[in-house]
Amino acid sequence: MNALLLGPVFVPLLLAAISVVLARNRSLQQLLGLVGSVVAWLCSVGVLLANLQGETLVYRLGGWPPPFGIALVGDLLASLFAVMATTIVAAGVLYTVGCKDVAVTYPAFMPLFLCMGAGLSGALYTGDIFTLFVFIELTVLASVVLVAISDNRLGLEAAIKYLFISAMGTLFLLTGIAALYATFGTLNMADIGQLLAGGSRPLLAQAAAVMLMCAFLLKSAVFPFHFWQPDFHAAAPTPVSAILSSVVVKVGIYGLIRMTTLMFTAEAPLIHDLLVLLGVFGVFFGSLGALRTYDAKRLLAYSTFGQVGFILVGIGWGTAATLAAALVYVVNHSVIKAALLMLAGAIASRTATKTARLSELGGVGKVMPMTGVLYLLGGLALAGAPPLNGFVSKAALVLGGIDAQEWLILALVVGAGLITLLYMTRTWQLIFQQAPSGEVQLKPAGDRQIAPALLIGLCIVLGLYGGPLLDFAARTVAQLGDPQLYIRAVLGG
Amino acid sequence: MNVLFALATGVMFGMGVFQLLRRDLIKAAMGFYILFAAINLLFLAVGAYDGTAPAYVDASNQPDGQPSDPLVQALILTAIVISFGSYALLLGFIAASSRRFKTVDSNELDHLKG
Amino acid sequence: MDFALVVAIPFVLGISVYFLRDRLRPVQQGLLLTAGMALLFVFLLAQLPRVTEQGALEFVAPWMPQIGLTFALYVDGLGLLFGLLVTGIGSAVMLYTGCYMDDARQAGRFFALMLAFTGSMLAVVLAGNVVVLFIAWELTSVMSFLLIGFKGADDEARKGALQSLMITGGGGLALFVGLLLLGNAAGTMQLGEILSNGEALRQHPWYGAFTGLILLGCFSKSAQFPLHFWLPQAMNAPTPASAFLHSATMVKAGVYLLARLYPALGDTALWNAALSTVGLATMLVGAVLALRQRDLKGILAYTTISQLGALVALIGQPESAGLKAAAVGIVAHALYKGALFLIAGAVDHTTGTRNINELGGIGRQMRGLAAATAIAGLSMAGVPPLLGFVAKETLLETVIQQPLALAVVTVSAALTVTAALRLFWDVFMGAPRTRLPQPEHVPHDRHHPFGDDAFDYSCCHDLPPLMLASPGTLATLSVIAGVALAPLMAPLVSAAIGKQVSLYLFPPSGVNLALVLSGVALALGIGVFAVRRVWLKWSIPVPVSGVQVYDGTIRAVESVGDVLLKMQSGRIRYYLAVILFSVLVLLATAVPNIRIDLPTPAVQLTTAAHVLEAILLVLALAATLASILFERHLVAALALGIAGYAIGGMFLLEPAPDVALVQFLVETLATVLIIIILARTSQDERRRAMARLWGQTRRGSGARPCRVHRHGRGSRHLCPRRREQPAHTGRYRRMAPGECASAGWRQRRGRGDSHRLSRHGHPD
Repeated sequence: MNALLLGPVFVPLLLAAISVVLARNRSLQQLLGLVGSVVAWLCSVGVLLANLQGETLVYRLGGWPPPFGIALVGDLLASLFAVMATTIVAAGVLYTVGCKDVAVTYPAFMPLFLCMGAGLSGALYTGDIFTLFVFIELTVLASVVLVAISDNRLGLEAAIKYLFISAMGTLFLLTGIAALYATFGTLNMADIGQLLAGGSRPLLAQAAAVMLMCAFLLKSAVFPFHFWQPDFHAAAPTPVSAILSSVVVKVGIYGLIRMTTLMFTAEAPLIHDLLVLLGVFGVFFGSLGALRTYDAKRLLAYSTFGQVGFILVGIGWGTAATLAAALVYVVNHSVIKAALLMLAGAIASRTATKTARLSELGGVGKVMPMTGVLYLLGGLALAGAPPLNGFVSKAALVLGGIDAQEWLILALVVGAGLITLLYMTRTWQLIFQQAPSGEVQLKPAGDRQIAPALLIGLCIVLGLYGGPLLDFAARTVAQLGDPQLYIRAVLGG
Repeated sequence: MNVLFALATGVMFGMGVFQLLRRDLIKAAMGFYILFAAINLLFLAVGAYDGTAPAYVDASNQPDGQPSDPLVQALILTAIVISFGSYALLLGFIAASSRRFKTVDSNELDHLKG
Repeated sequence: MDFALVVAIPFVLGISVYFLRDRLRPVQQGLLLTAGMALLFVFLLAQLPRVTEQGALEFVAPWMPQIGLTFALYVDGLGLLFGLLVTGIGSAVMLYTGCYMDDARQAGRFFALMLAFTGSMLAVVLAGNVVVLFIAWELTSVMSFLLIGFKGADDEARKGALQSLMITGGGGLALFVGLLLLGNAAGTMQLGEILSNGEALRQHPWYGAFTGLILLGCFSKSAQFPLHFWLPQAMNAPTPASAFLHSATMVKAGVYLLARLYPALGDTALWNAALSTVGLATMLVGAVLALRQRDLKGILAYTTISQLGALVALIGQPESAGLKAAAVGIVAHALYKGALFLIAGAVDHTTGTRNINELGGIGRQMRGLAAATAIAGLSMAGVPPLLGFVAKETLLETVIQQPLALAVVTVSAALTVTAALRLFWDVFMGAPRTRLPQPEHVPHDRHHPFGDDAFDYSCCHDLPPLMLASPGTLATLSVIAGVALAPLMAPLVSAAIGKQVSLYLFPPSGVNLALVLSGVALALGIGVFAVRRVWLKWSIPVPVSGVQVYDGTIRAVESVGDVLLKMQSGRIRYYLAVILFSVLVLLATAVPNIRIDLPTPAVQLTTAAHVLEAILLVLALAATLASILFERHLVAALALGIAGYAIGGMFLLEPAPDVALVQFLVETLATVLIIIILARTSQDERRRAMARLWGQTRRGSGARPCRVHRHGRGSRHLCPRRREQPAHTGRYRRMAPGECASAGWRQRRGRGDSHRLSRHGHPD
């Protein structure tokens, strides 16, 4: 059972290696990609099912017992994020298969894409903070190459910027790791959690907390570490930006939650205050930026920036209900945002110049009625309109906010929802309703839209039948409330 | 020794940041590399125990003296490899961008904004 | 359970019609849906006795208990009244739409949206859980958005749709928080339990908060002043949608919710003051603004606003005194206003214009339509024995003790009479007019069957009987309901407000003040109408319109967005500096009083290894510094290599020979790599980038002379500007910011470049 944890990490890696060998045969490569992502998904679901039986899966690589060896740990939190990640990655691979970009025909594309997926799962499942760093780097390096080979010539610029900025994240993470190691002599998160719970609070540990937090904030593209994100999304190939904007930013969120619930529980109130502050700023900067930016994909990137703000506010309020709401928000936002980015990419793929610039998208969607319906559903879900999944997460968040009695922030957050509604419906009108300006020449066929259609379907399902997810989030939070559960599962005893 | 090491690491970080913020992208990439070198120094400094003998896993063939911390060495190894990979990619991108955009001035690489 | 079907059936019908739209003609679609709606109407009507006897029927099924959501229905007289209104007016509108729409595919789409709206609206009025109510409420907003923007190619339609969504959606958000607060305060989201908990809720410390938020939501939906401006803008919707959503049903959702929550929240000082003030203001503003309208639908929209104001003010009367008048008013207004909207659409349909200045005397050709208009208009004017008269009488009787309210109601009633007269007389009677010059022309639903230029009233014909049937029926119902008050209206109203009421056409005790005032209003209205030539020329200055405020707000928000977007300047150095600075600030705040205990001795250089290590350390630092100071890239790269080797040496001393080995290897590779890269980048570019270390000169601002600097070899170079480089101009075009994928570069680039790039991407 514990070996299931290997699946989401090592199956994609293995298949990536094989598909490098099969560079000449693109369809076989894509088949491998699909197989790899589906197997990863199945394994992560298997871990989740085992979790539901009340089990925390631990796999010790090489058989070395923690804290010396590296362990993969599948508890509820990791499973929640990992199932979400593998789902979106599978959808991304599916989109890649139907994608008309030149970039996806490169032999390197599918292996890198799989590496990105493997890195994601690895970062979520690992119980060791240095391995977390390694997997995050795997994701970053894979995605940075993928954006550099994008059809969009500015992909290269985005790659350079992302590489520089994410190097800062690496720097912070490594500094934090070094500080932790200097203090505790261990890098196992459970072990560190145990030592910290023991009461020793050296100053260096606090500095480490700050550095780790900054690294995770950078991965989540939170103000003021967000600069890479809009550029990246505007330039990346559609499937890559869909993964980045939905799941990769959530790895940072995962790190923050893990940090505040397992390791730095005593510092959590301080971190929470900061998260609320940054979250509110993110909500507004993201929403307003999305209102004014000039490119449909960039708009969605700014929107992610805003939505991550909502999640941070949920985490920052610090009660069990709001943390659960934040978890639900994480999942729902990933599904919505991946679908929307794929749809935006599909629309752009029909234009003659393959651009997502709003000034050139007027009326482009007139010939794509189904896309219009999907995009509208996605936009409404993003804005939290019922009965879609965005509504469930927003309702949970608002209820949590009422319980926490955070009136001012609640009002701000709700107000920002209106801006989301404005920019999503406005772009929808622009793309799908406005009369095309001049002679718009469209390509006869664009990217296939099976993947976004499935994801929007998932939005509707999660909207109408969101109870299980809400329950699961509540259970996860309950488990997080007792870090000893995790520590005992990993260290034994 | 510790103070010296700490100071050196700090100076290294400072120089890395300075070089990182240069307009010339190639110099900035060097800054990137300096920063990672500083990180390696940092790891060296935080080793759990200063050894006098290499850390070998093979117990039967253990040389005399206190072995140095093996975990730190593993960390540094990984960090070196990863940072080299990033550095190589970065330099490759800079070369490609010099061809595509005809510049290695980071201020001129501002097509993506707003 | 059967009520759940009532909610579900419209959705099912809508989807079926959408998929059958290629098979059925619009008229057939309309007939099918009319039958369906009529069936629902009959079903709901049949429940009336049951509800009157047993009180509210409740139905609860679990859904998402985590957010307080149950699938709950709560059916009482009030809900049934609105349900009957929705299905009744709905069937009339469906029948009409079948004739109104020409294109079957478009009709199918339109019908699907209308039916989805019907289902949502029924869910609003039958919901037994406040979260369900909110879900349905938002769905009606979304459907309204889609219906107003049905003709999406029209800029005005899109703008109106977005505006209505923003106002009602924003109000919806307030309502959402308000309802959740209410549910939290009551400890339940079930409507039935909330309603029976009124006493505690009115005492609750949050009462002001949730009531204010809920009122905001209701006012926005029901187009109350000052949020009324979206409703006239919504008139860009196809006329059947205007008749159904924006006059008879959706805009009354706010009124419904106010009446619904009256037992729980109503009759407090806050409630009464807010509702009376806003309602009366809306009533007056709507009636006055209606006078200035030239568009038939504009007149109807503003009189609707006025009427909605009256309804809101009535619900704000103390001790539920106004509920009876509100219930009568809702029915009366729905009947006559629904009819008039359909008539406006028909006029537009046949003449090609809705501008009242272009119309006149068409009653000779369209006798049936004129008759229907006359009846509906009389009801609107409040002439006995129509239902509109009863509504006006009960309204006047309710406010008879309040001089200010009485004055407002009388004036508004008089102006409504004027509006009704204009709608009838200026369109159907009088002399035929000619068409005005184009700029005066208001965008209309349908083009004239003979093209835009032809404008000949002689070819106006009366409507096909099927199309006339809907407004005719609604108008006739105004008469029937007015005459047969006791058997028809009284039970309905009694059920709706939950107590027995008596309705009468004329006061049983003879003439009273209300009757007198009603007569005064009628006379006044006719008088104002008679002198319309005078006041139509007046220009009443409106200080600021709601639309301007709305647009200004959006612009202000957008300009904040622009300021924030400036932060995304595109310059990586700035990004990195901000990030590093933020981390420093965070570190300084989190670890404020850091204290370092120096080890003793601070520096230990006892052994040879230590000394060697210190030397290597200094060497590494010096080499790094050199790499910064040397301007030439090659030298800098070599210096960096030396620094790396020095660090490798330290690893060797650690002792970590394996790490040292890797370090030496990697360092060699890195140095080789950078030399390769240097060979591949143009020296000019590198020199240019090095020229100004911290300068922020924008590229292209070539007016500033370049600084001359000394290069390594001692020769003097002018730092070259791009503009002065003929070698590059042919190959490189300056790109506008974000000009990512314009056709120009793609043609030039082709696929080859990408391949080349990907090769550079992996310098193995």
